[in-house]
Amino acid sequence: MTQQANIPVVQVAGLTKVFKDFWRRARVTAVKDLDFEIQPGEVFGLLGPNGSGKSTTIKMLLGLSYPTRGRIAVFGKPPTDVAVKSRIGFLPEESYLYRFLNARETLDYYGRLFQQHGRVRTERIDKLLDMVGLQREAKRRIGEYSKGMARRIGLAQALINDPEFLILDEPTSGLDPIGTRQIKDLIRMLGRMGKTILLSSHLLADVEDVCDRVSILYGGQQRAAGDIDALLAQSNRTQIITEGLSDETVSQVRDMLRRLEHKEVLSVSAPKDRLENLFMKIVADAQAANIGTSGARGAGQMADFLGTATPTGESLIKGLVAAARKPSDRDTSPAEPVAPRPAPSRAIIEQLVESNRDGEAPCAPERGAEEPVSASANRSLIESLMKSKRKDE
Amino acid sequence: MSRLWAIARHLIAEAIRMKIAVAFILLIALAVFGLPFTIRGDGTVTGSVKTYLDYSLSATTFLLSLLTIFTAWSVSNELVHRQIFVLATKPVARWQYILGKWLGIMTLNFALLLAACAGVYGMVHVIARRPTNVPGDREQLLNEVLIARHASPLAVPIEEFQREARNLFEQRRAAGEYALSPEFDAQSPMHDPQADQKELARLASLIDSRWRTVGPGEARRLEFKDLLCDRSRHLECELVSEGGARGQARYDETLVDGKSIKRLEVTVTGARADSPQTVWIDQRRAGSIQPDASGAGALVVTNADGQSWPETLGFIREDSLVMVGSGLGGVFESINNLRVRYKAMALNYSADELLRTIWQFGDDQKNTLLYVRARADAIDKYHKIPVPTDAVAGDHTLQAVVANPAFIGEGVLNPTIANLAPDAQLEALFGVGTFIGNYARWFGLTLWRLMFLAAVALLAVSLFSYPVAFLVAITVFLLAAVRSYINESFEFLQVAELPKVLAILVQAVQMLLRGLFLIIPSFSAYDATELLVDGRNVTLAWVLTGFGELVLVQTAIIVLLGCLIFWKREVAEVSV
Repeated sequence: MTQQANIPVVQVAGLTKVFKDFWRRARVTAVKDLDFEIQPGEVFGLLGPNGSGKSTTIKMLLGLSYPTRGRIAVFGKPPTDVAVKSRIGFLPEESYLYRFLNARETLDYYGRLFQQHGRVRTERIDKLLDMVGLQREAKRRIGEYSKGMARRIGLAQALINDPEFLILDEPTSGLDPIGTRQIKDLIRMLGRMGKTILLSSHLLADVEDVCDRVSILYGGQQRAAGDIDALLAQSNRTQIITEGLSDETVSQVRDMLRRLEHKEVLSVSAPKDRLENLFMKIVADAQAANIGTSGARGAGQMADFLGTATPTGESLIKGLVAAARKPSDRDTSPAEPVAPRPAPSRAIIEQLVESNRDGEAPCAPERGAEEPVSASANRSLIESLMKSKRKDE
Repeated sequence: MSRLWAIARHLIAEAIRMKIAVAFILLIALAVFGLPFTIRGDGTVTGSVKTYLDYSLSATTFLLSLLTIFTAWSVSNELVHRQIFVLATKPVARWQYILGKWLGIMTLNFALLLAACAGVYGMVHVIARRPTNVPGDREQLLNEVLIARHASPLAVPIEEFQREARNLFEQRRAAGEYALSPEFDAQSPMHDPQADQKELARLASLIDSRWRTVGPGEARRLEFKDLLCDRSRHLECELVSEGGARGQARYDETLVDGKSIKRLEVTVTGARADSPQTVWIDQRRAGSIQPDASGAGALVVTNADGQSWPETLGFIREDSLVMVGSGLGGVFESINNLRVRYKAMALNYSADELLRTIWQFGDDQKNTLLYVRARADAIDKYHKIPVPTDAVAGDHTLQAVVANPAFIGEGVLNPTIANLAPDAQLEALFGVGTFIGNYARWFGLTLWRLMFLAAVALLAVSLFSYPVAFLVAITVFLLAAVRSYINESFEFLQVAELPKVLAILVQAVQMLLRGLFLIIPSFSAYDATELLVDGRNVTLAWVLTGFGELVLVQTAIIVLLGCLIFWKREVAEVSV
């Protein structure tokens, strides 16, 4: 089913949820006057500390709980509309799986609820198990799984119907760094395919890595919302990354900035790689060396049935543009106007570039995989993972 | 439908893998396969089979009822452990969820009930094969237990009694016997028509009582109606001789297109092989058998066209078969019998506590044969008199004359006054079907009760958390099981004689229970175990009526209510 380009996937207006006691007295206001929309094809983050109303909001979006006031529409229909649910996938905060079923039976059960035919269902199950790296453990009961393994099956069941709208509540909870990276990669890929994703988490780094827009809740109310780049940009700072510089050159740069811009250099240091990248590299090296493990294996390829829905209109353009750009560039639609960043002086940059050509290896940026260097690292990581998988097969 | 079935399969898998169903399966297996080794009944094979049927089927029904209530725990489990969060986000309507669960419970019930019934049936045949020294034990088992019999009660000539009562009343009024009672005087302004009716009823009751009391030297003509039984004659005869030869004979007389087709089959073993054996029935030659070298031989004579029968042969029950040459002989006995069942009651009886009667069955004016039975039955016990079905007339009535002899023994006056009171439960029982058919109808009625119980259990879990839901469902089950007893107790309880406070409390409880009974059926009204054990017919009409009332109406209403409640429920909130 295709999304109508002009209708937001989710529309929430004045949403309020008040929990009452047995005597119908108001006790807790979990959500108050919440307004937001999720556009087709975007990855939307719902952030907030514990008790901020994230899960309650998601439950109301899914019809598990009913709002006290306000309006919710999912694909233009009420959340309790049964037909709408065939277009949604949901990964709850805990996997909430059946302990007495094995992974294959679990996916088969949910596949049957979508009235998938036997062969289609079986093929999808095989591909999803491969994608989440649990094909060899498919016959073990869920009750014997670790939390991370259960989480993977939870994700697989959320994708069994190739949903247009995916709701992920704490998707990386319980996962090791490998699984966390894989989930984030998967979210990015699904986003590029034009799927709409609502991600709820209090792991800020995860949200920062993958989301286009976020809404930050506290006490049931929205405190901030908008494009993530715009929200995070420090408008009064400039960051320039160069290859390694000598102390003398650094001193000259300080003097030049003092002289030209009357500004001090706040810090000069060698940027650090992210611990996640280091971890992934070590694991990739171990997998390349065929070192055994009893845990989940490296995940396989993306299941090819995902994203088979043909996007149209704006979501198609977004997908094409996203695919043409670097991996984590996003076509953002800032919710609020932000102050333009002062453009760095071109003369300064040229001077810096001219004076520093000693070829030090660039470092990975602090956020996301903005730079070509990080993108190639990720690509090589993925390729090495795929090589190791092919060796295993 | 595929979604319903997916949910149903899931529930079955849960019940089995979480060991709920396994525990009950083991208990049912213990009841089905263990009881035969622990029960003996009255020592006869018939008694053992009846006791085993009663206990095993009752235990199976009870255990499956409990399993039904326990299995509904699946819904509560999914609510508490939040699997419903994932399930509710799939394209499954709330009503599909509840209906799917109901379908799963009933599929499990159907399979287990079927398996238990098959096990019971097998064990019945194992018990039936046990050796027995009681004469007629196996015949009784086949004719009174492993069969489906219809009971036709004694037709009491009520209208005749009322006519007699009216005549008597008018005679007495004309004779001035009511002169002192102006309420009976039709000319008097104090005439009370209700008093007339009361007096007529009293007189009719007196006439009825008088009719039912058969003194020494008296007889009564009785009638049983609507005996839609097979009136064919089927006689069997065991042939014995002193010389070691043995044989069997069977005579059948059936009506085909209005013609009476007679068939006689005689088989012998161990007869002399060097001479033909002539078969005689009641001094009339029926045919000849030529034994082979081993002494075995057979004779079959059928008058398929009504003409080839050597002579017109009419049998009465005591007809004997003789085979000249081998010395074989025997007496035919009817194997196609109905049973006249009654409790021997007497207002006055002799020291040996026996009720001696002479019964004649049949009506020669309606061209039936007459069968006479002399009985000496223990008082206050039930007895059965086998009567060949060809005593039933073409209008499906059975005439019987019961006579109380004036003397018992030589010159000894009979002191016994026979009492055919309603408590004697005089009835004619005849086979209308097979045990298998009866068993299947019992299966249906049991399944309807389980359907209702499943709906109640699901309604309860839709509303409450599991412990409370279990309590509610069990309470409904127990009330349904004992409702008939509670209603009887209401009738007997004299509230006015109780202290005031207690009377108010009792009345409040009665009102509450009566209100509940508007929606809770009486399971005993749909329980055919007693009939099945007694070999009585479980009618198809009863099964279909039960389906209509219990399933289409009550179960459907409760399932709809459960769907509605679950539809409105916020599954994210756990209720207690």
